Amino acid sequence: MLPIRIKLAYGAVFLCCCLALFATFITAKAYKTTTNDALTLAKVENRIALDLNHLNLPDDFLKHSGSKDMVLNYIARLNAQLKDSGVMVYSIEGISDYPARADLITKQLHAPQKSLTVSFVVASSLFSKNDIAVLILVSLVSAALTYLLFISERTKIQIAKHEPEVEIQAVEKPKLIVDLQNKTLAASCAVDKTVALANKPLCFYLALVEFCIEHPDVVLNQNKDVPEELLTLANKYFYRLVELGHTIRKRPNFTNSLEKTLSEIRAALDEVWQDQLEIKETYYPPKAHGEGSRSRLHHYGLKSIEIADIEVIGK
Amino acid sequence: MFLSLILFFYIGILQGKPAVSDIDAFIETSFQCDTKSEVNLNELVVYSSGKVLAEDVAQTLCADDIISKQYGKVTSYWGYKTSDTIEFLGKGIADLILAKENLINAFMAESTYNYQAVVGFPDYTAYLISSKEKPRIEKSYFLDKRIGLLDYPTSRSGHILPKQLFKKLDINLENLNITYASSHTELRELLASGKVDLISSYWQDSDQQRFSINYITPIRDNISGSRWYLKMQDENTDLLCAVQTRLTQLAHNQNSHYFNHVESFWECDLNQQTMKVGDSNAAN
Repeated sequence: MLPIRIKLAYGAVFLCCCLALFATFITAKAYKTTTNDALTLAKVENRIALDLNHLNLPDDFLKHSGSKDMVLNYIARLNAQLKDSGVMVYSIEGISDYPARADLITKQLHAPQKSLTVSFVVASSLFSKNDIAVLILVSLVSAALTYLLFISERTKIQIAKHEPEVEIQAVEKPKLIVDLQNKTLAASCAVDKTVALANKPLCFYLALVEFCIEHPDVVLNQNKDVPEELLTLANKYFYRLVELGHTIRKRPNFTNSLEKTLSEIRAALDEVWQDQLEIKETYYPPKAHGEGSRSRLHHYGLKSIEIADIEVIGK
Repeated sequence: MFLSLILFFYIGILQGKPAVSDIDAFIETSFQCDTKSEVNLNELVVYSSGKVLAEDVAQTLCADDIISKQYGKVTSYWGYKTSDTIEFLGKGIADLILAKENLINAFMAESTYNYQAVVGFPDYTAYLISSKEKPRIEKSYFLDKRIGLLDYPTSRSGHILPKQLFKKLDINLENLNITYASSHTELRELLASGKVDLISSYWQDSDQQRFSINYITPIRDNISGSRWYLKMQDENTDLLCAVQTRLTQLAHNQNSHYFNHVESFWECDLNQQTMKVGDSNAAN
């Protein structure tokens, strides 16, 4: 059995179908009726205009009194012809023997010497007995549509059960957040888990990141001097720390004990990316392997880091 | 869903109120009947004042043997307006026409188309009829009265004669309160309902029921009644006699005393000597 919620949803679909179909039907009918009423009125006006010469209407200018009986007889015979059209001539020049009513459509006919007023009654019954049959048809079609929807939904669910959809999780890649104010590192996926870092490694790491983004081709080797630009960047970050009031000490010499600084950085990153080792690679200054830490080929720069991978707070 | 929307749109269009089909002309201006010889293509055109009379005349004429010999059908027109009479008479369209002498004279129809009077209704008198007092022929009497007249200018008793009377009394028509009606019957309705104080018309027997014969004042007597005129292009005396016989017969069948007293203008003998009855009778 289907849960109540689904049943209600299908009920709503059914009702919406009914409403849409019936509204379409009524709109089309109203449109057609309005158009045809206008056409009928035009035809009746045409008839009256053609018969005007034989109508014996009163004419003040010619002191002609006209024949009321004749006009009434004319209206009666005209209405006999209009019986099925829902349009009725109510009066010509105010001559009428129908009870007074308010829903009249009044038209002016202008002949060369005179104008005359003709009033019509248009039966405006939008709904008729036939509409019940249409309503039943609407319900049937709506039911069929709802059933089709139900079938297609069920098929989908069955297919889904057989081959579960591969979850394509477009989860955002976590990135490193460096907070200069608190001197901490954190992963964006676990902001609360912060790892503190000393001034010197912090400044050097930020400088290293920035340097590697700007100069991805330069090889940083422990045997060579640290490039001037890298040092300038490190100093810049140190002054920033001074501004934030973290230290009053003289700026450290970043060239000294480079290996120790890198170790501190690695230790901090190890802690930050404890659970996501594959992501750590991006941020991790590579260790020297094999031929010893003094290898000429060793490059401790970050090869694949991009500007989007790191967010610095308080820069 | 989309298909079913279209489906219901079409159903709606189909269910919409249909426009009325073309309305045919239904005002009748003539009645036509076939005589006994339907193959004959000749048509006898009759013109008279009203639908009922026109139909009666046509049917009577269609039944006649002599007319059947000469005509295949009889078409009987009736007029809606004064101008219709003028067209039929002035242009000689009608073979047989019911007209007043003043119109025949106005168009000189006797000399132009040789319209000959066949039968005529008696002369009559025009009266001012009031419901409450006997009208006096005085200028002061008319000035504060509501007067009912006929709206067609060819009427003598209901239009021409009363207006002549006002002219004679030196009354400006502008100062009179005149209500126009389209027929003598309507005039009587106006008087009976109190919408006018006096009307100008003829007196007929049935008026006794609603008005008093004491409250009528004659304005002119010997007004010649309407006459049937036949267009005599040829010396077609057979036709003349047949028409006269039939019209007299028709008049006698009317239940009005006035119309029963119809006057025939020709003496139709069996020995083919058709003569006009003395001139004194025909011109009054």
